[in-house]
Amino acid sequence: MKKILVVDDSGVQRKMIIQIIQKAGFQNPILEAGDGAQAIQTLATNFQDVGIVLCDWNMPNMNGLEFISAIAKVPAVACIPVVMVTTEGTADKIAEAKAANPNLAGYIAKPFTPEVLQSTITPILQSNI
Amino acid sequence: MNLIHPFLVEALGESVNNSCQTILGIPGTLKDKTIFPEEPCIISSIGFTGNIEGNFSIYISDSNACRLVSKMLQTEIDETTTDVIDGIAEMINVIAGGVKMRIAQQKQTFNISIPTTIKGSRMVILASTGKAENICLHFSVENICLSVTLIYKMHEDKKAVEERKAQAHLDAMQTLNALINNKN
Ligand SMILES: [Mg+2]
Repeated sequence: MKKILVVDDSGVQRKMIIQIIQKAGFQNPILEAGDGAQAIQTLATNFQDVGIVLCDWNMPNMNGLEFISAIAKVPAVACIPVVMVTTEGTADKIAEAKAANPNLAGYIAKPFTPEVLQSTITPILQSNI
Repeated sequence: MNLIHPFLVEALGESVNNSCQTILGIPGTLKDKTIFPEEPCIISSIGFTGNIEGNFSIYISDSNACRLVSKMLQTEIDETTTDVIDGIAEMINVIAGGVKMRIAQQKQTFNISIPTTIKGSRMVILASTGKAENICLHFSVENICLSVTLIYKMHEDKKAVEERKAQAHLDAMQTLNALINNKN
């Protein structure tokens, strides 16, 4: 079963995302990272098992845009579907994220309901078991 | 006061209400005034820069913060753990994002920073000094009280300043012309 990587500098936001995923019935193992730099480290050792990355934008050290743009350039991880989960919900930011990572599979603006997160990740996880 | 001010007041109110409704399942109801606590409280701020520059802050007592984050995580928390501090920071982050989305429609832009949070006792909300504008709104979320401030100032972009100068110049010329023509 593929792993889900949740990247957000807010521990509470990560917990809320994980609760929603688990309440929706997904039993996939979950990895957490508090910024882009940690996410790079986590991906380096787990890239073959990660089926989706849920990524915040505004984070210290390495932000979400820098992270998704970096992974788009590394063939071994470039195809991992990425869903941005961020307060940066304006059209120009969505376009910037799409340009940074052509594999952007979804974009969720905070605040979001459990239903929105669930309906975004379900098809991705089902097609990428 | 400027043209954007009433829009910011409305955007801040809507964003708090929407954030509470979406994250907690309870609307944030505007109140006339805060019941500002004698008890220790948490303040979390997030700055932003752009053609509007300033910061958003949330003010909430320790006990109200515990109840709010308990609702966020659907678990009982009765002391100000790192989750409580982090949860309040995430609330102001989401509220700021909501205001940003709403004012983007008004062609106003800003970039949000990372939140910082402080904890203390007997804090009082003061308006900022200088040329900044100050919005302070008080909410109750069920029986949880919180206050949110937006302190900001506008930066006119260079083109707008040039256009305004050119218009003032034109106005002065027309006024002068009219005065001279009247005399003749
Ligand atoms: Mg963040």
